[in-house]
Amino acid sequence: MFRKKLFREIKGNFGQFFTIFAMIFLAIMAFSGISAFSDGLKFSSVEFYEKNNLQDLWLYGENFTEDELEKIKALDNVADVERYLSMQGSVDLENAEDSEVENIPTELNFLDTEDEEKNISSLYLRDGEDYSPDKDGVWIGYYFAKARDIQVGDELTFYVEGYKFKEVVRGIVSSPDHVYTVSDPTVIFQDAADFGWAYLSMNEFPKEYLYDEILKEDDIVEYLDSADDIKKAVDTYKAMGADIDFIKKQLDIDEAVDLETALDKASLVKDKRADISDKEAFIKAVDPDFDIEECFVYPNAIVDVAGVAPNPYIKSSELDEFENKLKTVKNELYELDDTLISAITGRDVWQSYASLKAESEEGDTYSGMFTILFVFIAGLSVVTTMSRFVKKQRVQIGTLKALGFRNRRVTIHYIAYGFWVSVIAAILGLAVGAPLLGQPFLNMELSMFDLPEAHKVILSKNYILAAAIIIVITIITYYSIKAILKESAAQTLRLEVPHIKIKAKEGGKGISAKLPFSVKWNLRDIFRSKSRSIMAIVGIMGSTLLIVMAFGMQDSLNHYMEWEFDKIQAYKYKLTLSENVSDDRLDELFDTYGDATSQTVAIEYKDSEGDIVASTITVNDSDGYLRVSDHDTNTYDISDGIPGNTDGDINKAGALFATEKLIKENGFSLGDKVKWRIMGEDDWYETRIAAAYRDPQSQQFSMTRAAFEDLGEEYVCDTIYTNDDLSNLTDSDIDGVSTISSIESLKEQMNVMLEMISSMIILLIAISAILGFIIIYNMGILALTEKMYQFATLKVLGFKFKKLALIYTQQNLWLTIVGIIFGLPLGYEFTDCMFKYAIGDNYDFFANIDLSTYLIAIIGTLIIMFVTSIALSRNLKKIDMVASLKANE
Amino acid sequence: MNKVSLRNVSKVYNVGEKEYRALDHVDLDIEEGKLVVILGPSGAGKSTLLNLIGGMDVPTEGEVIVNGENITGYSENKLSDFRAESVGFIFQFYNILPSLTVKENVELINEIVKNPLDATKALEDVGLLEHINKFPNQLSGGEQQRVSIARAIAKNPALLLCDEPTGALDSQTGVMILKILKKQTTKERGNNTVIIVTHNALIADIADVVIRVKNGKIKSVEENANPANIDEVQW
Repeated sequence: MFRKKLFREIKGNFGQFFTIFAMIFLAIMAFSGISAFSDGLKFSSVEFYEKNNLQDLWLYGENFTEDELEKIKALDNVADVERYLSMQGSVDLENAEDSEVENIPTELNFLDTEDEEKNISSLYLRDGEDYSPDKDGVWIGYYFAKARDIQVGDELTFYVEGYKFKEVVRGIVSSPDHVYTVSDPTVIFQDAADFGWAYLSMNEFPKEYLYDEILKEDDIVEYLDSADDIKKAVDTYKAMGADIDFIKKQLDIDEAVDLETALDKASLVKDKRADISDKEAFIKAVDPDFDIEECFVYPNAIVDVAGVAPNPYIKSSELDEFENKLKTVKNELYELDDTLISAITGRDVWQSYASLKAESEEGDTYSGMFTILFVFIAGLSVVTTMSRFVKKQRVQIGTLKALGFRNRRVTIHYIAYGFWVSVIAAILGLAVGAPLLGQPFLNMELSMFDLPEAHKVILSKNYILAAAIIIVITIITYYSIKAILKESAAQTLRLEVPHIKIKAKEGGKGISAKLPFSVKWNLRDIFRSKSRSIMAIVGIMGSTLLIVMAFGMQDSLNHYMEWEFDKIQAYKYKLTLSENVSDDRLDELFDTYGDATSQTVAIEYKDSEGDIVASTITVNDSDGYLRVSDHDTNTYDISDGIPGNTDGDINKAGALFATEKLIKENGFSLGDKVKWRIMGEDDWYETRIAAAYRDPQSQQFSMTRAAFEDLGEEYVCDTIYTNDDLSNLTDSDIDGVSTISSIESLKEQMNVMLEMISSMIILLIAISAILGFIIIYNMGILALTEKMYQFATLKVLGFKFKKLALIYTQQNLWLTIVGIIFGLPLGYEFTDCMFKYAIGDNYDFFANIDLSTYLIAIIGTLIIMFVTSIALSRNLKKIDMVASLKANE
Repeated sequence: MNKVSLRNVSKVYNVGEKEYRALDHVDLDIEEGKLVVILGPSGAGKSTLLNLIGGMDVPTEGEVIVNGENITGYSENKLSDFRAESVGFIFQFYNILPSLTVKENVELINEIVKNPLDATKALEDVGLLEHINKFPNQLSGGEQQRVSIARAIAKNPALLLCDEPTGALDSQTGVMILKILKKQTTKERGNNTVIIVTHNALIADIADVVIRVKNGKIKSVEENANPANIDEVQW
C-alpha cells in the first residue's frame, strides 16, 4: 500500500522529485564519466608500460660502449640496459591535398645491432613484421603512419643531418616511450601528421655520414693533406722501378695499406668529388681493418630497473620503495668508474610519460569539481523539496500516526522517497556516465595519445561515491521528517502554525510601506521561504558559474595564446640549427636572417632538499625576439630585466632568471643562490636568482648571454629568430638548419587543441543550461505550488493574468540577479583553480576572462530565467480558482 | 429589480469517465438589497452556484445575469474586471495573504479598483483599527475573517458572496461577522446584495430570502417576512 502511495506521490510531485533525480544523476554521471576516461587513461597506460616494459631511467652520454653496458647491467638493481642513437631527421612525404612532396621532421632511433630484440620499451606491432636488428627497413610510429597514410611496404626517403637514405616500411608500431611525441618542447599539441618517429637498426644509419665523420679525423686529414706529396714520391719510386712494398717501406706506410687505391681515391675526396663508394674504398684502403660497426655511436641508453614499477596513481609503500631504488641506481650509475654518463632522467621528465600523466590527472580535478557542484545542489534540492513535501503531507502523517502506524514505519516510508529517487538516479548515472561521457572523452584523448588497447575503467570509487550520495540524500530526507514525527498525532493533524519573524509593529511601516504591492509581497515571500530562495540562488549561481567557466576557459586559452605566441615568442620564424653547423655557415646565416639567437643548455640543479633535478637554461641573446614576461604578462627584452622583480646585476656571474612557479615550488626567493651544473660536467656553479619571470608553459631558467659568458662558458647558439618571411621554405631548404618553425603553425597546432577543449565547453554549456533550467523550473514549480492559493485569491479578487505573471516573474528575476552576482566571481575562481590544478606542473596558466563572457553568462542566465518563468507563468492562466481555494481549505 | 438571475443553468464536471452534475437546470432570481442564505447539505451544489454568480466559474449550459449583464460569455479578462468591480468574496478560510499586513491586504484592492473605499475606514467598519499593522497569523480566526470582509467591502461591491463565512468560527465571533454582513444590505451602505452559502440552518433565520439546494436543484425559495435578530442566533 505504501509502495503505491510512494509511486503516486512521486508522480504527483514529479517536477520536484525530478530535480533531485536530475542533480544526483548529473553528479554521478559526470563523476563516473570523467573518472572512466581519466582512470581509463591511467590504467591503460600503466598496463601498456608494464606489458611493453617502459624504461625506468634514460641515460645520456657521449657513446655507451659494450663494456659500459656490461658494467651498468652488473649493478644490483638493474635488470637490463639497451643503447641507441636518437637523432632528429626528416622524411619526404607526399601531401594528400596537392600531391607535393613535404619534408616532415621525424625522430629517428637507431637501435643497437647487438640487441637481438628490443626488450625495453618493446614495440607494439600494429601492422607488418617484428623488429630485428638484422632486418633492413624502418618501423614507423602508428599515429604518424595513420595521419600520413603510410603502409607497410612503402619506400620512404629519410634525411639525417643532410644525408639521404631510403628505407622500406617493415612495420607500423606503437611504443610505450612514444605515447605522446612533440617535435619541439614549445609545441603543446602536436598534429600527428606533422611529426613522426621511427625505429630502425643501426645498420641502416647512412654510412656516408660515418665516412664523412671519419674523413674529418685528424690522422685522415693529415694523410689527405700529404697525399699529393706521397703520390709524387710514389711516382718517383715507381719511375725508378721500385715495387709497391718497397715504396711503402721507404715512406714508412703500413704494409697492409692499399696505397694505390688510397692515393687514387684521396684526390676525389680532397676535391669533394668522391661518392660513397669512393669514400668507403679510400677509408678501407687506408685502414684495412676498418669495421663500420666500430664507428657506431650510441649516446642514449635506457635502463630497466629490477622489479615492476608500481602504479604511480596509487600511493603505496611499494611506490616509495621503488622511488628509493631508483635513487640508489641513479647514484650508483653516477659513481661508475670509466663510464661517462652526462645525465640521468626518470619517467617524470620524459615528455610522453609526463604529458599522459598530467592529462589523466586533469580528469580528477574535473570530476571532483562537477561532483561537488551537483551534489551540493542536489542536497539543497532535497532539503527544500522534501521539507515542503513533508509539510504538505502533514495531515497524512498525522492520520497514519492516528491510525496506529509506528514512527519507524512512517519514517521508513518517507525516507523511501529520497532513497529510491537517489538509488534510481545513481544506478542510471553509473550506467550512462562511462559510455556517454567516458568513451567520447577517452576517444578524444586517444587522438593525442597513442595508447594501444586503451579502455575505460570504472573503479570502486564510483560505486562508493554513489552509495555515499544515496546515504547523504537519505539522511537529509530523514531530517526533513524528523521534526514532524516528534509531534503527537493530534498535534500533527492540526495545521502548522507558521513561524513569523517579522515584528507586528514594524509591518507595513517605514520604507516598506511605500513600496509597491508586488515588491512588498515578493520581498516578504523571499524571506519567509528562505530555504527555497537559497536553493534558487545557489542553483542559478551554479548555472552562471558553469557558463563563466565554459566561456572563461576559452578566453583564458586565447589569452594564453596571445601571451605565449605574440608577446613572449615575438618573432615569426625560429630556425633550429643543425648540430654540426660550421662557423662560416653560421656567419652566413646571421647575415641572411639576423643574429637574434638563443642557446638551450641542459642543466641539473639542486632543489631545496638537495635532490638533483634536470632542467634547462635558455641563454637568451635574441634582441627581444624571445621575451621574458612579468607576473602580469607584460613582456621585456631579457637585457632589460623584469621591472620590480629584479635583484642585482643580470649580466654578471651567471645571474639566473627563474620562473615564478619554479621559485615558489622550490622555496627559493629572489636573490637566493642556486647550485647547478651543465649536464655532463662535474663542476657545480652557485649563482644568484637575479630576476623572476613568468612562463606559461615551461618552468625553467633563463640567462643573458653576458651572464653566461661571464662564467667562462662559451655561447654556442642553437636557434635563430627572425621576422623574415620563410613561408616558402621547408626544413631541408636551408643548409645548417634542421627545422624551421613558424609561430603561425604553432598557433594552428594550438587551435587544434582548442577545438578539443571546445567540445568540453559545449558539454559544460549544455549542462549549465540543463542545470539552470532544472533549478529555475523547480524553484518556479515550488513557488507556484506554495502560493497557488494566494494567486487564486488574487485572481478571485480580480487580478489579471499579466499582473500575476509580473509578480511571479519579478521574484524569479531578483533571485536570478542575486545568483548571478555570486556566480560570476565564483566562475572566475573555479576557472582559475581548474588551470592551476588540472594542468600539468610545467604550466603556469591562470584564468583571464573577458567582459563579454560575463555578459554572456548574465544574459544566458536571464534568458533561461525568463523562458522558464514565462513557460511556468502560463499555469497562472489555468488556475482553477475554485479548486485552489478548496484545496487550501 | 433582480440583482442576479440564473436561467436554465447547469454545471457538469467530468470525473474520470463519469459525469457529475453539480447544478441541474437551475432557474433563480435574487433581488437587490437582500441578505440571501443558500442552504443545503455537502455536495448539494451551493458553492458551485456561488462560484457561477461570482464569475469564478462558467456554466456548462444556461445563462448567468448579474446587474442586468449576461456574464456567461465573458472572456477571462472581462470576468476579472467583473470580479474586480462588482463582486466581493468572503471565504470560510479567509484567504488573506500571509505576507501582507492587515492594512496591506485591504489596500491590495487599490491595485485593481479605481475608487475603492479607504482601507482604514473599511477596517474601522469591521472593528480592526488597532490591528492594521499586524500580519494575518497574529490574528484570531474571527479577526482574519473580518480582514477578509474589509477587503471585500473596500471594493464597494454591489454583490457580496460569502462561502461559509462563519464555518470556521465560534458562535460569538460568527454573530459578529453576520452583523457586519447584514449591515451591507442597508440603504446606508448602498443596498448591496449579500449571498451567504452555508450548511448551518440556524443562520437561515436572519436571512431575507432562504434558498434550499439539493442534488444540484433548487428545492425551494422562501421569503422571510420577519428575519430574526442576529444577536439571538446561536450554534
